[in-house]
Amino acid sequence: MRNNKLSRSTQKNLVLFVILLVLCAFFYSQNNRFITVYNLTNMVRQSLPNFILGCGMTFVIASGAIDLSVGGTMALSAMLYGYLCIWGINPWLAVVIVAGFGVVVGIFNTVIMEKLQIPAIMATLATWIITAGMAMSVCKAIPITGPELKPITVLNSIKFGKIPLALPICIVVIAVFLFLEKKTILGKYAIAIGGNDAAAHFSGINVTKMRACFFVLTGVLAGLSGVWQVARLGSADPTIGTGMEFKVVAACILGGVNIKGGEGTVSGVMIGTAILIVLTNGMQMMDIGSFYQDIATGLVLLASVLINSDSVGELMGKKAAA
Amino acid sequence: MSNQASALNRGIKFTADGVQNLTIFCIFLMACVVGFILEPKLFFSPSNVTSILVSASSVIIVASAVTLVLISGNLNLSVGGTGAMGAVLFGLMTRAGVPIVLAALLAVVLGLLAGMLCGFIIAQFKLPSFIVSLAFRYITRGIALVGAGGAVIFGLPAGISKIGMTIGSIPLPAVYAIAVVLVFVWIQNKTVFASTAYAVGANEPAAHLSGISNRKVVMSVFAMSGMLAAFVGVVITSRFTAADSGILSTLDNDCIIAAVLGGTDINGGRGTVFGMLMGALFIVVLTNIMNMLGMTTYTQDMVKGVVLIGAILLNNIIRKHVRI
Repeated sequence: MRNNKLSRSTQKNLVLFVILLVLCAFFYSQNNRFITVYNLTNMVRQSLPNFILGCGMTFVIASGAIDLSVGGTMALSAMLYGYLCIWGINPWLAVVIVAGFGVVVGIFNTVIMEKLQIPAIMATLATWIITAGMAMSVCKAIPITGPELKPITVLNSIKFGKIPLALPICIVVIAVFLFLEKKTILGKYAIAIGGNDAAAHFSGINVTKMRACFFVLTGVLAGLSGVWQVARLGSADPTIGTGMEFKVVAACILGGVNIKGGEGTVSGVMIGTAILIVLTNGMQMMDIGSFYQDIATGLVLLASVLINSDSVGELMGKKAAA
Repeated sequence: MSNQASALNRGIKFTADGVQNLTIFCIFLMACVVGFILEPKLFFSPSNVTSILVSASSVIIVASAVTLVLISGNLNLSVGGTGAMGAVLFGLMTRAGVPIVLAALLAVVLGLLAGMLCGFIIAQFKLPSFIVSLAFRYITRGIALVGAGGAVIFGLPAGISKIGMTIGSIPLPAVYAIAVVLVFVWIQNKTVFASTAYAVGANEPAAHLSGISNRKVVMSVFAMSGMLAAFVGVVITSRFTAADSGILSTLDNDCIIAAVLGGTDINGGRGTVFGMLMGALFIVVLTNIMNMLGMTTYTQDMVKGVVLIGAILLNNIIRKHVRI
């Protein structure tokens, strides 16, 4: 049974990878500038938050919860970072403080979910509304800019040869999360809690503590994503997180994470994120209006859950047998 | 505790739903009293009351159906997109010269079909509603954006404003909201269909074994919410005489919040349309009061988030102590 399951997730990942390759080939045939170092690195630079938040969200969703607050946390972290810099705090120390703020948000989410027994979706929806509202109200909806924000933009402009810093950051974060997933109890416990949290509790897993770990991970990653957006844009904008929560969740589902918990791999989610990003970027390169991108995202999401759903698989299996 | 509660009520036993409805009703009344104390002359003035009703109307109309979706154990994140799609399609059709009533009907029917398709995919392939309706959210919003070129469609015939106009001092959207709520209160309390929705939401395998078609229930509730969302889109378009592709961007959350404030369980099997009505009105009265206090919309969002947590806590406490 166990082997069976593992091979299924590997199968799914392979299918996703083929879809990704087909998409890349298609966009390359439409516009040969699609596969250039410039475009590919640009894609990574733009979508670093999607990748790193996807890593954290995999654990949260696989453990049967969901974190809708990442967009709001991102925005509020960006604002916090902007104000810290303007108040004259060292820009690198400020990054650490923002990461600490991410921890606080994660713990807040855990407390309202586990201690107050509120379903994750409502708990994090409330956090989302609160943080997004706070981000907008502290700056009265006007982005903060200033020379104090200059030092951090070096993260965006620094390059090793042709490779911008974003790529190594991305690879390191993914490597860390693959390690957490495969080599530490975090990955196993996430699946166990997601499969059956009562059973996990009775087998001696401290469910609350593990949930806190997962929410803190997404909180910190959301905080750092907010800082990254400040680095990329050179200003702290309270709207940077808008729609982020659903993009990340969509990438997770696309990557084969079961929304009800108990199933999901970081590698699958990374491929899912890449598919969504290639889709957006490729359509831009083909000069298709940005409005069609929403429709395409929705259709790809629908198609992927249909392909991965058991009943469709059975149906196709039956047809193949007949 | 349930013994104490029944002793308190001298033999009248309240169900958890009853207690919840009573609680949210009292909270709503208290909010009204606070509003009245803050602005004695303005709060109950006809213009303020109608403005409260009009701003609550979109949420009330759509959340009536969304409450049933939640009761059946599903989520619908696509109502905002469907509403925008209905608005834009209605705008495009009327501008192209389609008779207004026909255009409105077509837009509403298309919304119904979108909802029905969403429900069909959820039930037929046993997929989580969260993700299927998320996909439909992208698709319907995308159709709205493409139809309107990412902006607003102007130059609609003046006749369309009749759908959402104010007759005398009575705004039609408020009338629609009251009518829809009455219909849905009736559906929820008196029809077998609603009982099947509760059954599916509380325990789907058991409902299936008792011969209830999950597919029929899910398709119907999603079709209703799609239809009403498109209808709200049409009404808003007629009030603005312009079809905006960006409208109703927070409708999905607002509907869920209104329903949850009214005691609906996000996991399904519990909830009432009346509670949702009180929840929606409470949120609008709260907004009204916060406007009087001069708070910005962003600060208001924060307060709403805290209120949401408080409301769910209250629901949990009530359900723990009243086990009927």
